[in-house]
Amino acid sequence: MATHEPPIRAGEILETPVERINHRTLKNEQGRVFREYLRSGVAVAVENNHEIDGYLLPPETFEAARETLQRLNHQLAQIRAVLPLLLAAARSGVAVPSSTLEDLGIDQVFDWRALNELQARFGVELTHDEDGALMPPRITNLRQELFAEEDDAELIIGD
Amino acid sequence: MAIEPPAGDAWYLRADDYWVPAEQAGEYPVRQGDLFKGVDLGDGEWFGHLLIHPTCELSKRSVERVQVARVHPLSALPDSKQAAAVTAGFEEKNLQVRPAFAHTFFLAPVPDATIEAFRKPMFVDLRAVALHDRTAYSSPERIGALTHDARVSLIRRELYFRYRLSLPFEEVRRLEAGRIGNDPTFAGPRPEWAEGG
Repeated sequence: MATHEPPIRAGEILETPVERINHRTLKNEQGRVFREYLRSGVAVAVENNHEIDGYLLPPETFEAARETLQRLNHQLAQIRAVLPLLLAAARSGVAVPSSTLEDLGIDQVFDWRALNELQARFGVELTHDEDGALMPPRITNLRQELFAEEDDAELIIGD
Repeated sequence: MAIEPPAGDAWYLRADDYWVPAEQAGEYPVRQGDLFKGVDLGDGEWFGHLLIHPTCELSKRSVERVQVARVHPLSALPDSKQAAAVTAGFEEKNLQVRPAFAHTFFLAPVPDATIEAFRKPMFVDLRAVALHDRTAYSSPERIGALTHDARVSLIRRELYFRYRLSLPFEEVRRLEAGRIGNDPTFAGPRPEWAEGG
């Protein structure tokens, strides 16, 4: 099943307003700080002697930040996985089917033999299926996979 | 004949490893993956066709009709972008490496083909299948005899196309070795990876 991810909300997180308060304000006016700032989507930097000791974040900002980091981390892994292929293609001048090379304006002449040679030797790793869903784990032992939970139940057909 | 498996998840062998050389092809009986010339099976003349019927079925008397798939020249594709995707069997899209046109299987040219058109790259359309008389398939009629290793890559691609099973080349070859080992009618040169099976 294809999963189409919503756009990354990094800009939204970066634009979160930050209000600076000190320890005393947090201690004495906790209710107001939560009501006026955190519940309104404002982050709070808690200072002590003009140095920030920590931040209080609205829950949605924290969740969005965590999700964004996870997705950026995933994208970085994707870039790492695909970069060697793109570099090999660019270096050898072989027209590998690639939207990234196309977007970069790297236009190469199709030569079926060169492409056949490159794909056979390079060792490309499939990361997604045709629809863009993550590729399921490779089946390295089909027999074991198929008969892992074999039972000996007989099929009984009533007449 | 030592054939280097494709590296990583690559779908296809090097072009030189696809076909049994003409001088040896006579030793190989007709099998799944063998290439035959054009035929008209009811929806117009096909450029060529590939026998995709399971090999172990071909020797059975009860099999009167066999499954075949349509072969096109690579040049039939409208642009080089599609031709590249079919040749590689994968594409990079938005930093994702995906199978491309999973219903196709790239065919390297048959260097010794008696018909010039088959000395150019081709592809099989695994969606375009038909039944044809078993008697139409014999070694003399054959354009190209697929090597055992190239047959493994064909089976692997079909497993992905039909069942979305993603298996490494080595695993499909191991399964094919087991099949060959259990086939009492196996004839012709045995691949070294299926010896002693």
